[in-house]
Amino acid sequence: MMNASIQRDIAVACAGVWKVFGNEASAALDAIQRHDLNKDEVLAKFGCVVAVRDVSFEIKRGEILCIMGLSGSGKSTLVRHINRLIDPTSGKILIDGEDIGALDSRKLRHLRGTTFGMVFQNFALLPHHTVRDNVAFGLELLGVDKLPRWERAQSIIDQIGLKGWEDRYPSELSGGMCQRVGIARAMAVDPSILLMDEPFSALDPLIRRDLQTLFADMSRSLNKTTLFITHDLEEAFRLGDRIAIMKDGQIVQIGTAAQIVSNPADDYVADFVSGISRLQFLKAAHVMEPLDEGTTPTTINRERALVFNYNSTLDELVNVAARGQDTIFIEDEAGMIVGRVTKQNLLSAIKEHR
Amino acid sequence: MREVLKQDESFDAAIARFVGENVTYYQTRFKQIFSGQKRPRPNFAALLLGPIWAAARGMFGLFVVLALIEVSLGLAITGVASGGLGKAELVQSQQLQARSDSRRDQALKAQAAGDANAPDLLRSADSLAKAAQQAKTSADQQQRLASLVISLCGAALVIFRVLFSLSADSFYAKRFEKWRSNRQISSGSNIIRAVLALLVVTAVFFLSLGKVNPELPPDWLAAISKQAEQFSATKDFAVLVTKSLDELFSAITRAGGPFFDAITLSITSIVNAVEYALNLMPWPAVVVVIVGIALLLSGHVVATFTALGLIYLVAFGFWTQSLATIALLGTATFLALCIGLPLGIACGKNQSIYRAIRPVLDLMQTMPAFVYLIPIIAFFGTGKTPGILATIVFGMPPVARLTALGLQQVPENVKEASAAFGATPWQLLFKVEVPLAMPSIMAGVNQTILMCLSMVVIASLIGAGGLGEDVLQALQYASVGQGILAGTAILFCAIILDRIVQGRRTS
Repeated sequence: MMNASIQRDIAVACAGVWKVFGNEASAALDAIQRHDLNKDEVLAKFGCVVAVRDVSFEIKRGEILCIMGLSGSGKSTLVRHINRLIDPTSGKILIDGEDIGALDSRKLRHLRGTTFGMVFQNFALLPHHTVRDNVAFGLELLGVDKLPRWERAQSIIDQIGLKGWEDRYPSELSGGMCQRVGIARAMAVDPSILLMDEPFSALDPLIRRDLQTLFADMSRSLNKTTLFITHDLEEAFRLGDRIAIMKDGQIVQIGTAAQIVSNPADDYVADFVSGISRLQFLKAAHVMEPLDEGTTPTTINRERALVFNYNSTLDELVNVAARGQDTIFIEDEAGMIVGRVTKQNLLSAIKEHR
Repeated sequence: MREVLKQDESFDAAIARFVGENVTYYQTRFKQIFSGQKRPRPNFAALLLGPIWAAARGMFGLFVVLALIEVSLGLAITGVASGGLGKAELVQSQQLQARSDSRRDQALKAQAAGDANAPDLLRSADSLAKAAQQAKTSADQQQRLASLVISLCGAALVIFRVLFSLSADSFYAKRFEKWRSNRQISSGSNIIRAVLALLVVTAVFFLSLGKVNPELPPDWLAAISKQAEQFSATKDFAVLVTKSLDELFSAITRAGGPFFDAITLSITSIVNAVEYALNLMPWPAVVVVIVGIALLLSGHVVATFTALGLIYLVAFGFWTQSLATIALLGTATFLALCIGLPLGIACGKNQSIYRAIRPVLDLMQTMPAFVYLIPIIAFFGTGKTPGILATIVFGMPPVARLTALGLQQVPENVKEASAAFGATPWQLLFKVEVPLAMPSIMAGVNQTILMCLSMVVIASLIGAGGLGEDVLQALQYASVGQGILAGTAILFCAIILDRIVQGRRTS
């Protein structure tokens, strides 16, 4: 059992969430759990679609969790469970330790208005509102008066780089700008949790990269807990502290980028990450060779040898080797020399992992 | 589902599965047709069986068209061949001849008796004989024509059948293309379908025989046809229902008297108040006020137009009548919007409400105004209130419909985003849905105003007064000029009202 202090660190927790769409959803769920039907059998027998299949995960406060999956994998359905736009067929969602399934509609609306900010793939801006009023929309719904909400909106607009566009309408904006408005609208209520539903998928690659950088900076500086949905593996690796890979409504693997790349859970994940260069996740510990028998750490002249920590990245080691250093010694956390890296080690690691 | 998935079968196998019988013939023919070979070849089954072939192969649309044409031609030939052509004239000629003979007898008797009217009778008998002779000539002519008609119709029948047999394979190939993507379409050749088709064709042919020549069908068939015609001519049932409806409505009128009186009173007082207010000021002041409102709400173009329209009304002496019309229709439109907008919102939010209301709206728009004028007069008497109610019935549906449509067209993602930011149902409605549906709603308001104005003439029929009365007078005296002037006045009232209400939306 987790103790209270850990629980306070968990912002979002999903426990055994199932979502079955269809008229006989609960009967279908019962049959699935009892007989372990696959999705084709469920469709044939009950006319129901299984969108989310026994998903459990936790997001720590301030963490960015990316959920990565192809279209139809249930990721967009899953994110809508977090603020209960969709009710789960079974399972629990805890926000700051509170079960949101138990909230009445008034409390739920309050939670949505104050705790969550959501950004959508297709922007979903209000066409009859200006940029300023779109950004202030969440505050408007909370009943904040015009002047204070305009002030708040202005500060977000300035931060996000839309100064000068406040009085324009969404139809006058480019896609990239629209999504800036979308992000600003989500940030305006100063939510503790951001839900990003494929926010950059509809944008062209250059703008996407700009907005990824902007978002990463803002999210970290404001320390927002974020659930980020994407179908783009590179985006997930770039933004996520941890990544969950979803397939057919299930999370097949969850972990850091390095964990997923170096140790894929199954063929599906392996296939997915095979296109990704592993070099950026290699650490000195992975490429070093242990010291020869008999060569005790103490015999090495620490004055003349170059010593790196075993968490150093491959990049750092290559930089040193390129300057002419033949052997690099690796020490562990306690300062003990545990191995060495030669140019040969580096080259064979690159050959193996590229 | 599974049927569609099984598409990897070969082309030949697909054709074989589709046609069922005569596989090799259709495989070669379809391939020729699909490879663009233009030279037609007759399909002998189609040549022999015609519409029955189409039915057996499951092409029922084609069957109906073919059968209609061929049965009509066949009936024409049968009728003519059995002497139907010129038959009526022959009978007429015989009757005339008989009457002429009897008249002649009378004349001869009169002559013998020395009666004064004998020459008249004789002349009458002569003219009757002449008419009989004309009818006889016409009958002879038509009978001579009969052989021509028979040969023409016969030729048409044969040519038609041959043409069909030449194109039959192409029709069938088209059908095959449809079947490939939709395996629900019937395939193969089926004897039951053919027998049914044959039965239908035979029945239609024999039941229609009596129409082309009354002597042809056997007695029992003629009796059946006669019974059927008599049944459709009797109105006993209708009389019964009419009576009970009459009783129902008079019962409602009696029972709901105070209720209807209350409605009459409240609506009449609204109209009178509006009319009184409009008449309070002299016309120049009213013109200035209305033009001012138009200028503020809709800009200078509409204001100019409004000024011109109002001057027209004054110049042609329609001022008082126009004010009465505006008061009447303003009230009617206002009430129609008061009912229509909430109704439209309810329909837009809830599909089952919409499904329930839609037939009622259809009824309100399609039922001729005169039909519901009768119960309205029964309930509310004549005057302004029934005029307004009739106008509401006709004018309310568009705004309800277009409001519902506008709400349904609000993008789902915007609604979802609003929910995600914690919008209450009322906030969602008034901050998101209604503003986004505004163009559609305003189109509905425009339609309602115009529909209401189109009711002025009918409303004035039951004493609602206003410009409609001028049109009605023009109609009674067939005075074209007055009708056009009054009609134009109604048009100006409508456009001015609508443009002011629409505001600057178009800019």
